[in-house]
Amino acid sequence: MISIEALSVIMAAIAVSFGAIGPALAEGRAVASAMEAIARQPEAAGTISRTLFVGLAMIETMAIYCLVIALLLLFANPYVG
Amino acid sequence: MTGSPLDLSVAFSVGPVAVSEPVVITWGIIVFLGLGSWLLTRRMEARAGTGQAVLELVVGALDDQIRAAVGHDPARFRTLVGTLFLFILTANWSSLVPGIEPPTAHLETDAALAGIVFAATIWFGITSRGLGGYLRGFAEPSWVMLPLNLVEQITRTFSLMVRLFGNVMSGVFVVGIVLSLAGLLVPIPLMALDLLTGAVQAYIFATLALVFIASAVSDGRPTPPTGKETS
Amino acid sequence: MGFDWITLAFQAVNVLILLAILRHFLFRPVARIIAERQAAIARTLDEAEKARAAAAKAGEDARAEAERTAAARHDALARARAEAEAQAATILEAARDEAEKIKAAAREEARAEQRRAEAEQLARTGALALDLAERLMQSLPEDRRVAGYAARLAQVLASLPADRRRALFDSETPQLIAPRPLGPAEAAEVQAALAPYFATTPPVSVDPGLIAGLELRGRHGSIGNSLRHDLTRIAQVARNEG
Repeated sequence: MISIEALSVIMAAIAVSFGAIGPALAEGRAVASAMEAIARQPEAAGTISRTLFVGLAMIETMAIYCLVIALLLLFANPYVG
Repeated sequence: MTGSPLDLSVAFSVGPVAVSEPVVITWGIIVFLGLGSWLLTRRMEARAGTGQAVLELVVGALDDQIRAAVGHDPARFRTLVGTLFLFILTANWSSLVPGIEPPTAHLETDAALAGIVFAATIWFGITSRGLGGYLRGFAEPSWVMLPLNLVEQITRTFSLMVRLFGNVMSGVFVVGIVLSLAGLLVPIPLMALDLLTGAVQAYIFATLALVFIASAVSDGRPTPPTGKETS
Repeated sequence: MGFDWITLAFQAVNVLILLAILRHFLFRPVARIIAERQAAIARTLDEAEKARAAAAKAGEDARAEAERTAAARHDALARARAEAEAQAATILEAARDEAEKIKAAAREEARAEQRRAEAEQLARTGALALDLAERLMQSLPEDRRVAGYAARLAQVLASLPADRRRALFDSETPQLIAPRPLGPAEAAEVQAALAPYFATTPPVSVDPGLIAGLELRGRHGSIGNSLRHDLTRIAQVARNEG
């Protein structure tokens, strides 16, 4: 029987790693689409890149949520005595 | 790595009230920004100098963004959105000063900011559409959406708070970890990334606040942030 | 961890204070200065527009003035030209008159000159004729110079009316002029011719200038009955005709 501390650490690692997969794929798709759009319409590069940054930050928020969960597990675990 | 990044360290206590470190740093930021703007705007002339030109550029860009999002007079929202952006930017970049932890790396500051945005959304919605109009806005496009819209108000405020907190805190955390492993030169790229993240997060926070306010002022749908000028 | 509500309240108040400070020290002045500049730009544009309008008006005025000036100059020129033409016409007229006068005078003078020349010519011709006649008579026999003239004299006297004859010679006896002293036969012939008219025989005087003939000369007139008289009359008639 593993202790609750060890489980918390393992789960934190799992949360961060799996939580990073989805945003990574999504950011890749977003950047690729933005590049295509800029290549097609170079005059709209300013608007596209600004919207891209906002979108990337939004997507990144998902990974950040996972990170927050991991940190909660590590540092603010209510089940740890 | 000394302890939890979520913990608050108390700077000093006045009687039963404990004044924490982020509050003191925020005071410092207030003094810095207030003094700086007072010095810059003390002698304003029609023939702008360099500093004044930069200020006017910033305010003009801000006005353009507000106009693009809301669609009319930017004077009403300029102060709130501009203050949010400047404060978050300064707070994020205050990590450059040795020994200072950004106040935005603590959940309380972000919660205060998100709460202010939440209150401002309600305030602007009611003042521009009336109480009935604002409340009817929750039942759009149909009354089935009413619980979802109400929940959305809470969750988007919460996500605003956690987004800023997570980004800044993770930056500070990562720099702290790297600093504990290798102290010389290695954290510099991470600190540069921190600067970029801090600026982007300040921009995103201000833009999202603007979008929320714009959706409250007009009707249901939040309009995507569009601008004509290059970033 | 825990959530520190006191810090939350502090931060909320802090942000609101910062909001007020930046509103007062940053956004208001910058917005005001931007508005002021825009107003100034608008004012400047208006002024520029006004100035341009004024300049356009001034140009219009100048053009109108120039046109007026040009018209006035044109008028003055036309007037001056007309005046000059009139003056030239007057002067030409005067000159033509003058020339006409001069020409007429010249013509007159030429005619007078011609007349004088003709007269002179005639006089010379008459003189020449007299000369010729005299020479001719001198070369003729002496009696030719008187013969026949007595009869002619008598004829003339007879053709004259009595009162005229009386007026010519009055009561006194006229003088008889001959080219040479008369011979006895001639004297008798003359006497016979004059006898009906004069009581006494007129005294005879000699004048070779007569060339040939017999003349009666009284106090009031004479009867020219001689070659010289004839020639002179011919010359006179010729002069009058010429």
